[in-house]
Amino acid sequence: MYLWVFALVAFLELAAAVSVYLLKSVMHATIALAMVFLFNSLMFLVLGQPLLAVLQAFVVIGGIATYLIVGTATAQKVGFKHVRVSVFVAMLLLFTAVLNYSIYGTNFSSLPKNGFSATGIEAMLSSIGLLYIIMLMLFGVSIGSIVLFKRFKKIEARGE
Amino acid sequence: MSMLLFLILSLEVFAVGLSGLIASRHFLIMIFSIELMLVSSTLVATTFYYYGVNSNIGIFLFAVWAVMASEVIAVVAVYRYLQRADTGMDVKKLSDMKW
Repeated sequence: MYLWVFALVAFLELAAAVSVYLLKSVMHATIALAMVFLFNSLMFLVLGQPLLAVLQAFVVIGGIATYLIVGTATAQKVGFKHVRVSVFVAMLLLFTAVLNYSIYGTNFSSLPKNGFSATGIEAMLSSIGLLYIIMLMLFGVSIGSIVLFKRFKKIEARGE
Repeated sequence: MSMLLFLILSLEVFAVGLSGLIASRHFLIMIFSIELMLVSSTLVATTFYYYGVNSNIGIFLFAVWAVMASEVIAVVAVYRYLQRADTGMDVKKLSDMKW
């Protein structure tokens, strides 16, 4: 059961990480980066660390990502091709091969598991799930307010 | 669940950040790449903690988060300045320093 949870969160995290470079608007790239932070926080839950997951959510998403979004909210669409996709893909394949080769053949199965009692999935289902819902709602509110502000500015500019 | 899966995931995220840093020309996107690499390091630390390799990662995690926060504050300030100066975000043009 935990394997498919891990696979889903890992896929979403990697998809969000790659979309930081493929999206043309900096604002959208910032939101994609915040999604990477969110899925990384969920991965902490899968690893059985609910406190670290909540800290990551509050500090990184609630603080850093929100500040980034507000700071780049007035960014226009990029006027030049900011990522060379072919170079990005080539470098990604190269570094994936090199970094994975470094752990190839290493036997990790003999290491003892940490004795932390609260497993991630149960903790999430009990009380941390509510904190995540609140965090996602607040995050959505902050992004929605920026979108609305931009729309009102456009309407005002048309009215003048 | 094998420790290898988590390590591979964190290495993949690190590889995405590193390749994006090399391939990108936008100032902010390069900073985001550094953030991705820092986030992957926190995942590696937590994996090692969970599998009993390292028993004390709290200080490391707080240091990484502090670095991420202070870096973002400085970057947003520089970004707003560059926007007002109308310099553009292309690092090729930013690298031509002029007095």
